Amino acid sequence: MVETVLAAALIGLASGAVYALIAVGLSLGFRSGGLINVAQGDLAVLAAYVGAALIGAGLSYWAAMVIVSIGAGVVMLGLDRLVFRALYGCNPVYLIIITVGISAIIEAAITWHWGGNPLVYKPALGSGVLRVGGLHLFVEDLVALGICLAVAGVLGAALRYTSIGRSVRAGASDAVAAELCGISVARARAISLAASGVLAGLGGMILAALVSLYPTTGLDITLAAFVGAVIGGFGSVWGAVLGSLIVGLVEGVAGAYVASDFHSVFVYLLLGLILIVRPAGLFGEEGVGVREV
Amino acid sequence: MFGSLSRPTAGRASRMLMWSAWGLAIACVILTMRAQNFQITVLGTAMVFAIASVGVGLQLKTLRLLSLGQGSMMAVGAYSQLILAGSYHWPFLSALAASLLIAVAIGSVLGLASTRVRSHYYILLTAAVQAIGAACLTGLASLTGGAQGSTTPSSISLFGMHIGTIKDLSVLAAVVAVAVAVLADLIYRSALGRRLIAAGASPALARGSGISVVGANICGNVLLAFFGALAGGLYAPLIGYLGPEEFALSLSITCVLVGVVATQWSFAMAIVAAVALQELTQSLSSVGSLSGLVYGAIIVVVGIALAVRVSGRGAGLRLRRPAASRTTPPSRISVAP
Repeated sequence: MVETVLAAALIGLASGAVYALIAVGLSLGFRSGGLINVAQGDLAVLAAYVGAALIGAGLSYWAAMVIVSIGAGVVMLGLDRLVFRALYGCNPVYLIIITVGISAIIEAAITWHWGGNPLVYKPALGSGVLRVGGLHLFVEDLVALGICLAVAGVLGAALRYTSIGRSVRAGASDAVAAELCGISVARARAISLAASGVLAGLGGMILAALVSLYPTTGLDITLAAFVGAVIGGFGSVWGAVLGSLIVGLVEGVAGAYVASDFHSVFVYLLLGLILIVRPAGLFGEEGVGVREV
Repeated sequence: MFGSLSRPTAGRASRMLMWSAWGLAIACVILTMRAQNFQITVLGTAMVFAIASVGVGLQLKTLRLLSLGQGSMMAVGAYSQLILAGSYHWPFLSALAASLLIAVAIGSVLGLASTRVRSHYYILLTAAVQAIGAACLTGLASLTGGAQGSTTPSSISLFGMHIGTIKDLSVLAAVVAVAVAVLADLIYRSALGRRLIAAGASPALARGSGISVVGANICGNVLLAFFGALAGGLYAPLIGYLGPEEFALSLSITCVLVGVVATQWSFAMAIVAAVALQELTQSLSSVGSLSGLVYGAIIVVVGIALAVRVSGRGAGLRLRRPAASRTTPPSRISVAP
C-alpha cells in the first residue's frame, strides 16, 4: 500500500518536474511583460518532435536536447521581436488571443509535418528499476526529476546572482524604476522570453522521454503548468516549481487510486481551494491580480 | 488586469459603428434563413456560438473577467436536454429551464469566487471548471454516454409548434441570438450594466458608491452561465449527437475569440464574428492539414489588429494600464484620449 503510493508519487513528481520547467517559463513571461503564453506547451511539444527528427538523423538525445532548447529560445526571441515587443502595454486579453493563434499554428504545423501519431522516444534518460527497500523506482523518473530541479536551481541562481538576472528581476519588479536606472526593460523582456523558450524546449524533450506526446498535447501541458504556477504564486520561480511538483504529486497519487477520467479533477479541486483561501498562491505577492473583499 | 476593451469614440461615430454591426448581424440572420443544405448547420451552429459568446463578451466588457469555462456551461444546457428530454421525456422548455437553474447555481458559486479571485487567477479557475466538466462528461458514462457520446432528441416542441428540421432549429437559434445580443446591449447600457462596469473597474470605489461588489460579481457570472446554458440547450437538438469532444477547451477558446470581438461596437458583433469564424473553418477544411496554420495565422492577425485598434498605437496613443502598470516603461506611458 505505502510502496504503491510512494512509487506513484515519484512518477507524478517526475511529470511535475517537467511541468515546473514550463511553469517557470510561463512565470518569466508573465513577470516580465504580463504575457500569459498559451503556446508554451505547444512549443515544448514542437521541440520534442524536432528533437525526435534530429535523433532520427543520427544525433544523440543530449545533443538534440541542447539544439532544440536553443532553437526554442530563438523562436521565442523572434516572437518577442516580431509580435510582442510592439504590443507590451496593450490589454493582456489581446496578447492571450495572439498566443492562442500561435498555439494553433504550432499544433497545425506538427500535425501537417509529422501526422497525428503519438511521439514515442526510446528510453533516453536511462532504463531499469532501482530497488530501495520495497520500493521500485524507475531510473528515468529520477533522472528527469534531477535534471528539472537542477535547471530550475541554475535559473534561480542566475536570476539572483548575475547582472543579467538582476536586470530581468528589476524590469519585472518595476519597469519604470528599472528604466530610470539605465536598465533596458525591452532587453530584459527579450531575455526572459528566450529563457522561457529554452525551458519549453528542455521540458518537451524530457517529457517525450517519459510519456507519449501527441500534436494536441500542448494545451494540456500549458494548463497543467499554469495550474502549478498559480498554486505556487504566479510570477515566482520557486513558487512555480513547488506548485508544479504538487500538481504532479496529486496527479500521480490520484492516478493510482482513481479512474483515469478523474485524475485532473483532484488537481483542479486543490487549485480552487488554494485560490479561494490564498488567491495569490503559496509564494505569490498579495495584491497582484487579486481583489480584496 | 484587463483594462477597457473598446477604444473611446465620439458619440456619432460610435453610433454609426454600432448600427453597422447590427446591419451585418441582420444580414447574417437573413443568410441563415435563406441557407440551403450543409450551410444551414454551419450557420445554425454559428448562432449558438454567438449566444454563448455574448455571455463571455458581456462579462469581459463589464466585470473585466475572462472565462475559459463557457464550454462547460454549454455542456450543462446540452446534456440537460440529453438526460431530461431524452431519457426522462421532459418537454424541451422544462429541460431548458432546469439547465438554466443549474447554470445559475454554478454561476452564483463562480460569482462568489470571483470576489476573491481576479484576472489570470479567474481565467484558471474557469479553466478548472471546464476541465472538471469535461472529466464528468467522460467519467459519468451511465448518464452522459461517456466518451462514446449519445444521441439527443433532434426535434423540439415550443408553445405548441413542432420544430423538427435543422433549418427550423437554425432559424430559432438565429432569432435567440439576436434577442440575446439586444438584451446584452440593453444590460450594458442599463443601471445594472453601470454597476457591473463600476465593480469591474474599481471594486473599492464601487463599494464606496454603495454598489454591492459581491452582488455585481454574482450577477455577471450568472448572466455568463445563463447564456452558456441557453446556447447549449439549443445546440443539442441542432447537432443531434453529443460527445465530450464537442465541449472541449477549444469550444471555450472559440467563445473567448468571438466574445472579444463582441466587446467592440455592439454585442451584435458576436453574431458576425461567429458566422465569420464558422464559415472560415468550413472553407479551410478544404485546404486539408494546412487549415490549422491558416486558422492560427488569422487569429494572430485579428489579435494584433484588435490590440492596435484599441490601444490606438497607429495614432500614437496608448491604453492606460490598470494597477499592473508598474511593468510599463516610461516611454510607453501616455494619456488615453
